[in-house]
Amino acid sequence: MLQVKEGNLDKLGLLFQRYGKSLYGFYFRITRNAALSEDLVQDVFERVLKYKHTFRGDGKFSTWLYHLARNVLADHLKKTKRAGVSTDIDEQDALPELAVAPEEALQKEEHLQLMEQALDHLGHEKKELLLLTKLQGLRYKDIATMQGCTETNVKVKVFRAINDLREVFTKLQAKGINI
Amino acid sequence: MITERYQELLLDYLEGNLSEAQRLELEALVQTGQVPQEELQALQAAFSGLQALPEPEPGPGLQAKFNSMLATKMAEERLARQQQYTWGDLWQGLQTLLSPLRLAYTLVVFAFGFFAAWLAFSPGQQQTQTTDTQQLAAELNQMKQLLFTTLIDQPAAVDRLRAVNISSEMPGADAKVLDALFNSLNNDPNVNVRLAAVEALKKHTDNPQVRERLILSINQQESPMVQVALADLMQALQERNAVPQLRQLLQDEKTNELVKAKIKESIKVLI
Repeated sequence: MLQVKEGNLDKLGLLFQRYGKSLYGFYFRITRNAALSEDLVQDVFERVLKYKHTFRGDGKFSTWLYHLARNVLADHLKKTKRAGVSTDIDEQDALPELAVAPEEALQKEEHLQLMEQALDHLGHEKKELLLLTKLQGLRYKDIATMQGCTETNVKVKVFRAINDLREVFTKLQAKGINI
Repeated sequence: MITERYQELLLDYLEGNLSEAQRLELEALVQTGQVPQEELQALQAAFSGLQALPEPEPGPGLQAKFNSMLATKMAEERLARQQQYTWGDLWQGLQTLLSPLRLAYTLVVFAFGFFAAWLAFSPGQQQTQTTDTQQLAAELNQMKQLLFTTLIDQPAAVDRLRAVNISSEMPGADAKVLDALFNSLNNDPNVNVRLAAVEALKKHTDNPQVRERLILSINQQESPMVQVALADLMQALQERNAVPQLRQLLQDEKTNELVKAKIKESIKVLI
């Protein structure tokens, strides 16, 4: 990143190789829209170039990157809300249909689908927190810096989010929703 | 229900970060029923389920969009750099420009150019060119004179008008041309030709003889328009010698009343 900051834009490709896919995953799980997620990832890298002078190099690059990513997402949500675009989960891209597979694999796949659904039922803040900490691998300390609160506070929030996820997951299982 | 007090402890448990003391504390909590066993298992299941989720696979569009964005940004950056000239760039440019080989080459090209220009525009060459032009101009003038003398004798008024107009294009009209013009002014049956002759003669009023003959011509005119045109010309030239001729025209009974009024005005101006 420091080389990008020096004006060596070629190196942005390396950063993209390292973080692009993970960022895409973060956005896809929130929006469930592939094209939109791709666009949002581009926005993040454009901002990396635009604000490269603000990266001091004293913290982890991923923390800074996800800080930008959250801002891009917040801007997008604000824009869609203003434009009256619905972000209701039900109206977004449906999760892929299950392929015909052996029983065990099918069960495992069902389990994963149920988990994705449970995630979608969480509130935006909780979902984002779980994605950042558990799937994107950000540290509690970094999240605390990002959100301006204590590490303990973040941990409590994460636990509550997991607890909610568990509740939703159990309910979905009980309902026996056929995915 | 798990109380807030144990939430951090439970998270550490889920993540496998419990110290020995914490593990014992949790075991005690489970045994006393403060943390229900089933809930703990369900939490564990949800937590591992979450972590087992595979990363969504992006399509080829992600890389393509990124490449195009990067290419655009790099082009913009290159353009911005090109526009930003620093003193260093200027110095480097000067050094390249002033390298001995380039300097010698520049001087040779310059000398060659100078020599070529000297050959093309040297005084000798210019003189030849001037003579050529002069010759051409003289020939053109001769042609015009010929055309003039031919057309001025034509029976059609249009041709005679053209002749008079051609005469005004000739830079230095000689006595022949002037005679022909006065002949038209005094004797041409067509009023338009006479008027055109007045206009053509206006250009030669620097010549005192022309002025004199114009004054004499006043009394030979019968057309009111030509009379007015001549009176105007006299007024414009401030020619006092024309006053007797104009007065004579005033006294003439045949003169148009409107023309008389105009002539009176002219006389007033001239006196």
